[in-house]
Amino acid sequence: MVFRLDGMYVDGLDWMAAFLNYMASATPEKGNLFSIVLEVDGMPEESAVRELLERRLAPVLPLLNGHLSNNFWTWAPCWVKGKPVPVPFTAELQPGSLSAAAETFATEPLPGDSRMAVKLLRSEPVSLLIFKFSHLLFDGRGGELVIDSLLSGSGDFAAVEPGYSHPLLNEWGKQFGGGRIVQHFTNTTLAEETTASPPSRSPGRNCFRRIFLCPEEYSNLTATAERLFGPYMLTPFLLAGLLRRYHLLLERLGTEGDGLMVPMSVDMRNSPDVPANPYFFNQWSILPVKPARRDCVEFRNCVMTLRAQIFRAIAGKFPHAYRVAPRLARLVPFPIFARVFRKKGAALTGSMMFSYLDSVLTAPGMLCGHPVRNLYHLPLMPPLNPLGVFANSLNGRLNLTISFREGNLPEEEWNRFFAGLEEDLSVLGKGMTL
Amino acid sequence: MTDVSVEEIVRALRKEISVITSRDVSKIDPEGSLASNGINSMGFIELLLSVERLWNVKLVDAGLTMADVRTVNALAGRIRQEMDK
Repeated sequence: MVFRLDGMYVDGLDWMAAFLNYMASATPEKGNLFSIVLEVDGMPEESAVRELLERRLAPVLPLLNGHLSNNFWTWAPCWVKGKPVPVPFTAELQPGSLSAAAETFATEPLPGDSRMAVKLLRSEPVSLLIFKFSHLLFDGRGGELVIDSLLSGSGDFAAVEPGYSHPLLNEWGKQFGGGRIVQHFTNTTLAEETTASPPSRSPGRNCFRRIFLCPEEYSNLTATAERLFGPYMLTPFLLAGLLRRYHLLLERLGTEGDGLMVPMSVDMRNSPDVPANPYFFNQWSILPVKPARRDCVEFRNCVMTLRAQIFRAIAGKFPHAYRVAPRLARLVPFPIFARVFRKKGAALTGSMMFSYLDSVLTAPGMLCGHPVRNLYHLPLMPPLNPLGVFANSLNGRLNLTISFREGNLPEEEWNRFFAGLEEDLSVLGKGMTL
Repeated sequence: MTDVSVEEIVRALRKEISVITSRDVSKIDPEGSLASNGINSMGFIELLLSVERLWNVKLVDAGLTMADVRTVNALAGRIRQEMDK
């Protein structure tokens, strides 16, 4: 029971993350986990990495081992600190496939009550350091910022008080305003095209496929996007390539539904109403687009459609509204909320998820004297979402992680989809269009 | 509307960027790139919407190039050009 927790209140998106964690608790991974993988040259010493983690994370161990609770009086979500137990760290020599070992670690439940665990897979010429954490604690960008601080020695976790100093519950106008925008969009969207999505919602184990683009390919792809569609248009450019291929997959499967709904996740740091604290909790939001499938057939048309829809969503203040609206929903118990989500299915969860985060690391980055070559994300998919594509960049490279649950589609269909995407990205990486 | 000077546009852009990025307006460098001033892809669209609201200039379909967003000053120059059309 919590009576007072000044400075530890969290926001609507943290409530949403907690809901996704609840939904994922029945999966083999037992929660909504997110992993960030660092590729480093050579073999860092286990003792050096352990010492670095223990020294830098010591001030925030109670926070890292905390849990989400509700204020007794207001039912406001707040983070309750736990015991200062060290973050579980393991290391092993890995003679086999590094990426397979990383994926295995990323899909194992967190040990005990931990909210974070780290593993070093030592190998030549490249080793992997994997940070696995609960989405309750950080989002992808927050995780990257923590890693950056660990590597660079800059920043002081302990000096940054996480969360809000008040429960945000007296801003009723904002909450209802946000709720109205979200509800209006949902109603409008449901009234438009029906949402196409693979029918199965398997709670099977999470699988990953990854595509890496080298600096030359990524640079070509970016240049083409800018030349054809203008500055800052990489997101609709990439997403159009994915949706075009996804539409073909659904066509092959004979999936019904006229539109592809994509709840893109966007980082809200450095925008109004989001705390300056960059590390902790969920500072993202949703920017939804829903192109008609007929608009996804031709690549250029798809980019233009997505661009227009992104403009519409931002002009309508949807991402800001979506951060605020779930503050109201906190009053609904998770099992009831889950029933609504299951009933509405793809109309609420979307056809696929997408996110693109550019680099945040202070390039080039070193881990205990070993240069960091690359960094990529391994986020798990919540069980109601059929597919997620997560793009990030570092050192001029582009990484795409495709995350899905086993059993949603036959493996050969995923493989075909994956091969098609690789083919398309190879074309775009040569500076051509689809 | 067309008597707005480039300097006035720069001043207004710095103010808008300051609101979008939650940075102090004095920290917005007119000779810096939009990215170095904290503008990401979502912020860029918010900025284009602000430009449309302030001067009724629709940059989204104006064929912006990277040169137009190299600095805040460059963007102001492009907005001024669009006003003259």
